[in-house]
Amino acid sequence: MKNNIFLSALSSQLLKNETLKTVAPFFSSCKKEEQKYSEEIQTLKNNFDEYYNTTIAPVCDEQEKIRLYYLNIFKNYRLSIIIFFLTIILLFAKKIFLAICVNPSSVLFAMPLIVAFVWLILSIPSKQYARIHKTNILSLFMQYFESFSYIYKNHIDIETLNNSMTFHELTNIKGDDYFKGNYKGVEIIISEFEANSKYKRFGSTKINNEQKTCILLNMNKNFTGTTAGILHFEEIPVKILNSLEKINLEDVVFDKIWNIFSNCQVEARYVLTTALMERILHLKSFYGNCPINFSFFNNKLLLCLNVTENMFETASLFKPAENKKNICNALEQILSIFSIVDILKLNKKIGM
Amino acid sequence: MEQEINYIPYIVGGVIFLWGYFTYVGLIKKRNNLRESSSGIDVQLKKRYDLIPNLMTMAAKYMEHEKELMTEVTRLRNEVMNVDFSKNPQEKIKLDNLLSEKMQQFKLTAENYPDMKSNDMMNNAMISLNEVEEHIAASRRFYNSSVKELKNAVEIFPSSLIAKLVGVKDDMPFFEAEEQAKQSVDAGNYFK
Repeated sequence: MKNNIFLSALSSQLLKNETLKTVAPFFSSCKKEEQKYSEEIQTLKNNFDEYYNTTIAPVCDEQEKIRLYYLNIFKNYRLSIIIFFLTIILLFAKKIFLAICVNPSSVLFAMPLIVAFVWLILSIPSKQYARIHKTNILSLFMQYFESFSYIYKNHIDIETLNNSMTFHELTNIKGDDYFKGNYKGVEIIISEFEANSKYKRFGSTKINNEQKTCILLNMNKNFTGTTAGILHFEEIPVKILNSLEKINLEDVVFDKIWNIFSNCQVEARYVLTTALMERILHLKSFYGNCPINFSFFNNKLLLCLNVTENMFETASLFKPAENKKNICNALEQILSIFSIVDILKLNKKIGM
Repeated sequence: MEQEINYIPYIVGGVIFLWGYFTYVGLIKKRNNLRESSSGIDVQLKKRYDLIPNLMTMAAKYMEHEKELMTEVTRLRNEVMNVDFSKNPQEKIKLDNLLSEKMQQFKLTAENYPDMKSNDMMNNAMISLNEVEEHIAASRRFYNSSVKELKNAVEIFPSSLIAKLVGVKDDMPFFEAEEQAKQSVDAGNYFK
């Protein structure tokens, strides 16, 4: 796949992780390979060009006017800031020079504040444009998949995420892109968010801030308990250690990769059949061995991808509104998420 | 002159005592785990036994030519119900494997009766049966993992010493498929 932003995003995340040593060689080879989609997904991919040309492209002209409007605002802000700071420097040059000589640390302290202030002001037009562009274009883009809808700055509710046991106690969430719909009868929610979590370890309270991409899927089985699979030992939430028990499963490879915890030994095995364990391993390799934590709870499956970079970034103030490349990247990202249903066979019901 | 106290034997004794105690605790936990898992199998099997009569009653209307098979399923169900898993696991496993095999045969034969398949009640019963079968499979896997853990603890030195001392035995068998079930199935035989 040429333009697989999702994989490159994961790749750059992995560069920051310790897992790089083991994951990177496989990851780079995976990047070069064509992802193998199911027939249905391949059809969706092949027919997208026509939909883009007839539905999305005509709207882009209007979007381009909006982009230019906000780009002008950005330029005005930038100019105002430059004038403002130049005036300040000219008016108080002597005082600033003295301050630097006498107390350089105060300047060092002030600099990040000034940079943050400038960044905050300059990001306003960019954010406003992104909101308008995403609401219009991504909504239109998701209509291609019929049952899907897009909501800007939304997220899966805190209670659901806390119930999944894959996070430390979440205190605050800032939502980003949020998609909801059905693929092959399986309800899918895709949610990007920035979350603050709080937890106690070795007597001290720690606060985490993480960017997450979570996929919530309806399962084809009924279960009441919680079964969570956490990749790295240090990521295991304290509440898991307090309320769930460790499960040792028969699949040696699977058991080595994930730390499995559940509140019921039988239910954990009912959900994680040997076949499903194989499929989850397949899914992991499909995503270039990217770090995935998962949880089965309330008849749902939550997949948590450890991605720091934004997915579905179709709007850029500095690029033309009609940016097919970005839309195609978003298409790849969505299709790779749809593939989860095919790989895990979540649309197959137990029974006759 | 003050006599120096040698603490080493006390420390060694303390370490041995603590190791013995924790090994004992581990063994008892594993044995209780096994008991829990074997009762779990009983619970799941009971669900299947409860489901079979309803299933057979509904199927009897459509599968008149399969009376022999249905009688055999009912007979095995009654027989296996009277065997307690914790008292006679070998016998229970043997009979249950036979019942599983017959149920599998029943499900395959049911494919020949489209009228029955289209019946909602029958369909629901079959879905319930499949769910129960999955729960049974999960219980068996939990049971086998508990048996393995206890067997390892009882047979491997040095915890085997404590196991002998406190009388913890690994007398429960693995839940294995019968030799007959391991062989590949010729589905054609069911449709002759």
